[in-house]
Amino acid sequence: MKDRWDTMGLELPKEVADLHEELSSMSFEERPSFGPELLAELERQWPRVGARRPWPVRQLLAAGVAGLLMVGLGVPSARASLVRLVGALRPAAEESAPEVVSPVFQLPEELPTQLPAEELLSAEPRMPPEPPPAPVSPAPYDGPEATFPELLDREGTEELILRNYPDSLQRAGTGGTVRLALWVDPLGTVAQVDLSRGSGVPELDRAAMEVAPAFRFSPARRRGQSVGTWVEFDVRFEVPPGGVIPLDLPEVDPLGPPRVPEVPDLSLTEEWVSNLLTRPNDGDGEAGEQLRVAIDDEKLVERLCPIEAILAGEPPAGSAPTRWRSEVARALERAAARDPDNAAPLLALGRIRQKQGLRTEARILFERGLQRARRHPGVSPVVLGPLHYERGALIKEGWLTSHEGGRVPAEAHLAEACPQAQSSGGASSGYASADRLIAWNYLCPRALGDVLAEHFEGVDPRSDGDFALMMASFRAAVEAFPAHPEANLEILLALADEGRWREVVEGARRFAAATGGHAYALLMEGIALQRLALTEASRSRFDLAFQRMTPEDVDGIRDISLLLGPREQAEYQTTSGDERLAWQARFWAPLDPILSTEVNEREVEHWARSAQAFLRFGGFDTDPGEVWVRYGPPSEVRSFSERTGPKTEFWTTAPVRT
Amino acid sequence: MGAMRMEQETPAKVTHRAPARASENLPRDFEGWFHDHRSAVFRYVRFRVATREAAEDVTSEVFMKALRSLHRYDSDRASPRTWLLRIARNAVTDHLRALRRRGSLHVSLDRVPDLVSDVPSQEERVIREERIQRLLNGSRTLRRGDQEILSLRYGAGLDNREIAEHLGISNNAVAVRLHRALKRLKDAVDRHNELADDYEG
Repeated sequence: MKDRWDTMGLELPKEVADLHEELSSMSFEERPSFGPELLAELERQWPRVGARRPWPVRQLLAAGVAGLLMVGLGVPSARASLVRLVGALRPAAEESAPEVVSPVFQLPEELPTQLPAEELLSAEPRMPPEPPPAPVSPAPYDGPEATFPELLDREGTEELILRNYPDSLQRAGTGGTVRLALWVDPLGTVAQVDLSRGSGVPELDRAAMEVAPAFRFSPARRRGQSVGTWVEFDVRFEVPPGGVIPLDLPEVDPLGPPRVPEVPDLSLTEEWVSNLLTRPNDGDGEAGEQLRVAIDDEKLVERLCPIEAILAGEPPAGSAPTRWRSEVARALERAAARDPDNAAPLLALGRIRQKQGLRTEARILFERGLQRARRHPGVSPVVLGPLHYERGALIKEGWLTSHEGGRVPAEAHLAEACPQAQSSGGASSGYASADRLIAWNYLCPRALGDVLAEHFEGVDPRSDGDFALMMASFRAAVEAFPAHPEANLEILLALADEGRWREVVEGARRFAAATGGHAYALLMEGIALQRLALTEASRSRFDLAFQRMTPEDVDGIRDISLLLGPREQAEYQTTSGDERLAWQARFWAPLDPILSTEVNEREVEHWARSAQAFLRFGGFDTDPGEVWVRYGPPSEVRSFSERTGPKTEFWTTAPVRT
Repeated sequence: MGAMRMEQETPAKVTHRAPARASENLPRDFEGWFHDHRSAVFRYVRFRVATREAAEDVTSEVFMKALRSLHRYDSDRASPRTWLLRIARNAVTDHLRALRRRGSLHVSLDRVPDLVSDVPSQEERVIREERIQRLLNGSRTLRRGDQEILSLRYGAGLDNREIAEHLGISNNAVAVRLHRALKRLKDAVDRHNELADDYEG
């Protein structure tokens, strides 16, 4: 097309030549099934609209109405009009009005057995399925001419909407109604979403559009055959009296122990220890097998392999991540459709969406997997547990940034105590901003400490509803699959933050028993025993843990470079292996506070700090981890409310132990 | 439904492609026009409306109208394509008029999955699609004559001579009108970008 202009013998002026090129290179992708669909529709209409012409005027009106009825479900625009028209004409008392007012969540087993790949939320362009070839000679049909999509599982959909209601708006009491136009395809899934009328609150509009693809309908039918159609759908966001409803988890103490079979004897017997170091059971192998069954295409799995990478949503080395994820996502969508009893593809797909930054979609996928599991008790624990965990992890992510924190109405107090800080930052609404507090922390730390102690208006982040929801998810994960390492760890770390060390010991032992001695379980027990002043037992746990860890991670926990001056540090960094262990032994020997015991309490304390910082902040070399290792766990954490950006926390620590 | 049942039995082996077949029901001419010009009509319409779904709606409407008024078609007055594109122009006008009653003509940039550009990576594709959507949104701010000529050229894919025939004007006039329309489109997009920059900056 680009050349055609030139063939005219005219030269395109330069100022618009680029635009011409750009427009010329643009093309539009037709849905592959659109042509055949339309052709079939035209063929069906021809005997009515073409063969009878010219129509007698008397019949025109009646034929027009019949034509509308037929065309209405055959041609999308007319379908939409017809659905709206008939919806408006239906008696109000009838429950299944096509113009649906509130929404629902169709559970998997109630869907047609051949779920469409489009069942799943997708960031990729989606192709609705090709229609079956139009019957050459349709069989006589006696049923209703047309039926309309009906919302399935209204209650479930309302719950789904509620769970996608942005927390900040709920708290602010901001609600509204978003009118969406939904293309309900012949299988009853929502294949396209358009905003018909916004609520006036962009976040609500966005939330409605994000959640809509999860709604399920019975499909529209024309002469008994399923067809796609547009429906208008009002999504209402209203804060319920009881707040957000959790998915299906009972109201429990967020930090209560998971309901798992008790380990017969939690005391540390020789037998138990000797049985501990068995093969770890993380369930990935079994979950991978389930996924393989769902995908049911060995060649594809071989190309995208390994199956563990697909399950984790992590592209294998050497693959192009974006392309790999797109291809895997398509395969998983097909697998989820093909095998509706199997939740493994939803787990893997959710992980991919999460990695793509599509958290809402990821959460919906995990929740759909859980719904699927609830309806099909055969879903394996190795899939069910991770579904709960991944959902909890997403809730945690939101909670970490959105929970409400405290504030200091102490502008005046600080101004008096720290005149140097006058020019830094500003106060908002009469309260000190986090930036200002940071400046004060540099300039007048003592004054800041006093003011915080006296005037800080704290809000416990754990009072936030999402905290309870996330902990309930982690518990459910452990209850479903007691060997889930991360879910166990989340529970233990939360208990540790509360100082509930005996419960940490018990939980860690259950965790160890379920996993055959997972290193995290042993580390957590080691930390807790040290906090309970059982240093010798603690050391034995760390020794066991070190056997289960990589040499790099062991070195990270034993590492003492943070405690060294620059010259010592330079020397220390040149060492490795046994030489480094000897260096550490020389460093710790003079610091042993109780020479009569077999262990060096100070050294074990260091391991406990390093291990907790490693587990809590997700690695070595993190800033909060460094503070934690140097100064020990904070005795008090004050978190400040800031709507945007990371949370600001002020930690108070006890004096360094020597 | 028969095909769907078959799919259920052998899920991995059934291809979805609808078989090409001669219609036994439609007038032969009309079916030929459908195969020859459906794509041009769709692309012409797609250039003017906000989403693929809307373009499908309108394209369906065009062929349904054409089928209903087949007896009125006069081959001496217009080629089938010209006739179909005229029906399309009216259908687009009707569609936009209805939309104006409802609200926005624009579509959010994150929902334009059918725009295709042959670039390698997903990221580039996203950037490209965003740019294309801006162009389309920009074109919708132009006067109707400009939109018409741009969509004939870049949507339906007609060359200048074909446009001249379609509109009943000279080739030279087409070139001049296209140039002006392009210039105005460029101004509209630039203006939009400046506004966006101001807003973001």
